[in-house]
Amino acid sequence: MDRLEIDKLLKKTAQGDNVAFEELYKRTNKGVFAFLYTYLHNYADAEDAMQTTYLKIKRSISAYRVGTNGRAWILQIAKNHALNEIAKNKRLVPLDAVGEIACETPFEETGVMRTLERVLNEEEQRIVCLHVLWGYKHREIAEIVNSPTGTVTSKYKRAVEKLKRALKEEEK
Amino acid sequence: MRFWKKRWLDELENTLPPMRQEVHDEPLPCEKNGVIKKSNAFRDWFATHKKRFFAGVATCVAAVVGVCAALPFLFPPTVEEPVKTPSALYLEINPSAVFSVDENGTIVAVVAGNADADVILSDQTRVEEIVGKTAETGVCVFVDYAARLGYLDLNTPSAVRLSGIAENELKAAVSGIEVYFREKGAYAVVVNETLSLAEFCSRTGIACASDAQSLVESVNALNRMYSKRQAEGKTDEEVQSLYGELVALEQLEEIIKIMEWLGMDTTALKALIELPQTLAEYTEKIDAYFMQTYQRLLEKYEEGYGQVRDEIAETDYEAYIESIEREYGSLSEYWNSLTNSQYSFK
Repeated sequence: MDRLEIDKLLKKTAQGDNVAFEELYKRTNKGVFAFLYTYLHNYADAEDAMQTTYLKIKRSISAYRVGTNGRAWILQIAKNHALNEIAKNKRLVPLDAVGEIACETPFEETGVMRTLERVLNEEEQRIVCLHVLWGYKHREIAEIVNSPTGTVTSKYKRAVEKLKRALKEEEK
Repeated sequence: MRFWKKRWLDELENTLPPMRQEVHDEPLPCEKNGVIKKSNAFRDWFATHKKRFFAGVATCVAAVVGVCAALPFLFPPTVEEPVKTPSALYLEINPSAVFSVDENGTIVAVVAGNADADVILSDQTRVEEIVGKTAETGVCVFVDYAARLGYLDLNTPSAVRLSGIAENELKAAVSGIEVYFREKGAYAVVVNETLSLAEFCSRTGIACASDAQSLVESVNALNRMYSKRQAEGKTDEEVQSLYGELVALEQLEEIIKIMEWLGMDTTALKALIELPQTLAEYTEKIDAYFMQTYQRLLEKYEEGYGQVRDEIAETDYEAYIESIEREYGSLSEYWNSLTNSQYSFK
């Protein structure tokens, strides 16, 4: 996801361009959803939170400073909403309970989303999401999660290896 | 395994719902306050001085037109034609091939870089689909044959590398291949590198040339079949050994067993298992072997090649390339991670 493109779309949205906002949704909704999913572990809640995130983006668009980090702004809104939901509903779902919620998700059992959940911990899921879907470099992710860059790089590589291995197993 | 990142994106694309109506209908703050655009000093002035503005514009336009009309007489243009030189391209998929290109950008010759390329180039009709075409078209024909024969799987992320000594020809050919991949719905990248003459010769194994013309002449002089170049100057015994290396004899034996079980005629194939006794026999058998292999691979990979894939939008394709560059640092590094094969021209 190109940072400058997101900034441009946010700028146009702030000027009242709803078409730009729809384009922003189209370009970023997968990344927002996947990011929220790492907090909420539930399709329905993550989808709900995703829609609310975009509602909040629209409502607070005038607070966005053009030329600053659009990606980070969107993700901050998403994260704050996810944490509020968790605190409100006290539905912090432990990863070992994922199996109980499986029936609520439209994702295939052998698909990438379910495999991500099964084989990676929350931090690994978030690192992979930020890098693959949001285009963050490892050093940028290191700043976000407050870790050394080397740690993020090795966590990412290990996470991807685990994921690929698991996906290959499931294909057999 | 299908590229997991693409699978992930597809999963999300296919399961996430569109924007909810309430989100769509939520007015943006500037719409709510009745202000669509920021205030603009020029717009305010224009609203009250329209006549003066258009009169001024008309005067300027007339002046510009007058100057433009006089310019050709005052400063006659001297258009410099770019100097056209012949060039060469080296395509690596496995198979690999070198294309010599004349000063007009037309492919003059194509030569195989390895035995797998011989499968494609063994038949003159296929060669004629490449030679005489522009670099952009001819290279694509070769790529398409590689895909038809299963050397390039359009259903899994892959890469080809195209090197050249002339940037213009290289860019045109790269663009042609990228369009081909997008139209075929194939997530494949074209790693491209402009090389110096020395680098090109080193990469392809062609004898070092002093200039582009000499390089092209060297390529044109080569036998287009790798397997025949390898046999040049060899004794009958050496040619037998070479045949054994190039022809997958065990695989042929397996195919013969299956065909016999199915009651099919295996005479032609059995003849290929016998080692050639002379160079002439080698040439005849190797031609027959590659023609047989071509047919077999064409049938084997017909279904995979013909699988329906959605055309990829240019923006999605560019985003895919960017994701590769982010992951690996550069397309060249991606290529290096996929293969460390080296092909040598002899």
